[in-house]
Amino acid sequence: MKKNYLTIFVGVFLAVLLTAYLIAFQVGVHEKCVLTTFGKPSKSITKPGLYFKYPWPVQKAYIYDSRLITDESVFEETYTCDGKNLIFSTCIGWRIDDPLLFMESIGSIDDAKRNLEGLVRTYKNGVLGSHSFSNIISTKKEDLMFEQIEREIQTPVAQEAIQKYGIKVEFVYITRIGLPEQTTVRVFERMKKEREQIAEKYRSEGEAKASEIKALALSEHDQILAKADAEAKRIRAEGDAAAAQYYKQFDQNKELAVFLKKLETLEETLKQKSTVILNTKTPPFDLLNSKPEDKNGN
Amino acid sequence: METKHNANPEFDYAHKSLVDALRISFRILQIGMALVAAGFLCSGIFVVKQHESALVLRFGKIAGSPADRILKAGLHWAWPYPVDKVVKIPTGRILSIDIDDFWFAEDKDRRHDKDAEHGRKRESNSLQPGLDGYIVCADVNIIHAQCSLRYQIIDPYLYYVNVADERKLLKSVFANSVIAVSGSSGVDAILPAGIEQFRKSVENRTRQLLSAINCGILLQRVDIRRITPPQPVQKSFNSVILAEQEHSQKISEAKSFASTKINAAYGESSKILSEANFYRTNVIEDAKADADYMTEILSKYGKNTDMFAFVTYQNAVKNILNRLDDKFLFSAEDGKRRELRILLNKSPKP
Repeated sequence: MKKNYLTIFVGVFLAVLLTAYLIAFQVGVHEKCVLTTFGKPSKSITKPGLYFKYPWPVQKAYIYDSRLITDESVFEETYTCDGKNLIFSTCIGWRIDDPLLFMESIGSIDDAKRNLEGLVRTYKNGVLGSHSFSNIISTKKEDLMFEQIEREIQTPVAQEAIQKYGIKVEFVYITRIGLPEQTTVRVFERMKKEREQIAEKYRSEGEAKASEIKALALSEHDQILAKADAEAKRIRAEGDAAAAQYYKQFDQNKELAVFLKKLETLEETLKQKSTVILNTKTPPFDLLNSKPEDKNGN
Repeated sequence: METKHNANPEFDYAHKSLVDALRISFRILQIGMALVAAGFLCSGIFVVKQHESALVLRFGKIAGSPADRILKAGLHWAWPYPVDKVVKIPTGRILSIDIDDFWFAEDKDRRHDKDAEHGRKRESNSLQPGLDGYIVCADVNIIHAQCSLRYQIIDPYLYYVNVADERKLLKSVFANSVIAVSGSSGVDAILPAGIEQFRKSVENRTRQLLSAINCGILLQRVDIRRITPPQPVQKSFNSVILAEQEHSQKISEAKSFASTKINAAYGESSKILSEANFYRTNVIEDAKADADYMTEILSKYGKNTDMFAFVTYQNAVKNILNRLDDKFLFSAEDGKRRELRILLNKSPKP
């Protein structure tokens, strides 16, 4: 009997497992679910937990990932209101909000991507067609309306997506901006010319600035020397004035003073490497002209 | 039959063997089941590594309160599947993603293939939308960039609940930031000196957008691996850099010239002042010495200074003539003109 109980227990356990597999299902915290009864959507489950259903083929659970899905659109050419053509790519971030509506209207993630891309394309072309090129790309901050353009695309897309598909659009971002292929060639030509102008500007500015620096330096050089010369003159004059005080002593015998100064000058100037031509009348060489008797006073 | 059965000892032996075999088999089955049950329970043991965090989903719901629902590194246990499901998230690591969406197609063969597919002739020196990535600046100039994002998952709950594909999300958010920032910056504001500013602006915007999405991801850093103007205009950009260097060099040379010139002026000025000061001292001292000398002479000789003057004159002439190399004397008779020829500097001394 004991052996029979165990067998029954194992059998019951396996039966419970099989039944649980057929009728129970889990909805994760990141998922949403739609329960269909004979193929017809009958119940929407948006909270996570353990749920039960009638076994297939009566009921079937369709579980969708409700996390944020990001999809980038293809690179497409579009025109701004001022007639310029740009190539745009956008990215839409969305998640399933109403699984029942989602299932009834679209049914699969891939179809949802296609539908949303169509929606974004429609509104993107409309919005960009009402804005100028400078609202998207401009060096003037006051012209730029980048984020406003994104909002203008997102708002109608989000409204339509939630109403028609049960999809909540979290964001629409512009992710790529390009130019038509032929335009890039012209852009390169312009860029080359701009660079040449900038290079020339740098060179001429460098030369001008260098010349200015040199001129200023020369001017400062001259000013410094002029100041030094003026100061030197003042110092010399000060010396001469102070020396003049002592010249009063010479008044006692002016002739002697003049004679001594002349001698001093003579000694100072006639140093080595000088050639002197003297007349024999010059003392003491005048002795050479006189006779011996003159020496004796005869 | 029973008598017959009992009468066959071989049958009894076989029956007993069968019973024993069944008993042993059943025991093995029991042990096996016990081991399976134990294994089943033990399969719930899991390790969260140092760089990870874990969430336990119990029948789809996050187990635990908001305060303790995130499991840190260590040994943990959860009910085995299908009751619990353990989700491990690499929160402790800085993750990275390379973004080459703004870089041109370097593989020439791939370009040709693509062009051939579209049955068109390719423009030389052009960029093909969808194949060549690039950034359009505010002044409608074009640049290429290769970047890397370093990020960390800081909230595993928000990350798990909200993010289906983090790489796609990060790429999109980053691309939007690049477009927004470059769309308001001219190429000269980016290349070459503004790269860091551009990087920071993109980083800040990406961080803000990720925060607004509430995805539990924190951007640590944006790295610009390479940033360059398009190849057809690369030479022109290089010539600007060269011109900038020439500009700097000219200014540097001019500054050096100015510095030398001004320093020389100060040096010369000092010399002039020094000479003036020397002159002042000299002239005063000279005058003073002369005055003292005169006073001394007058005190010694009184008014009779003729002899003193004569002796002094003779001494001076002697001194001068002794020092001189060339001395010429000539006599001239009164009233007669004479021609004198002297060869000077016959052998100049070094």
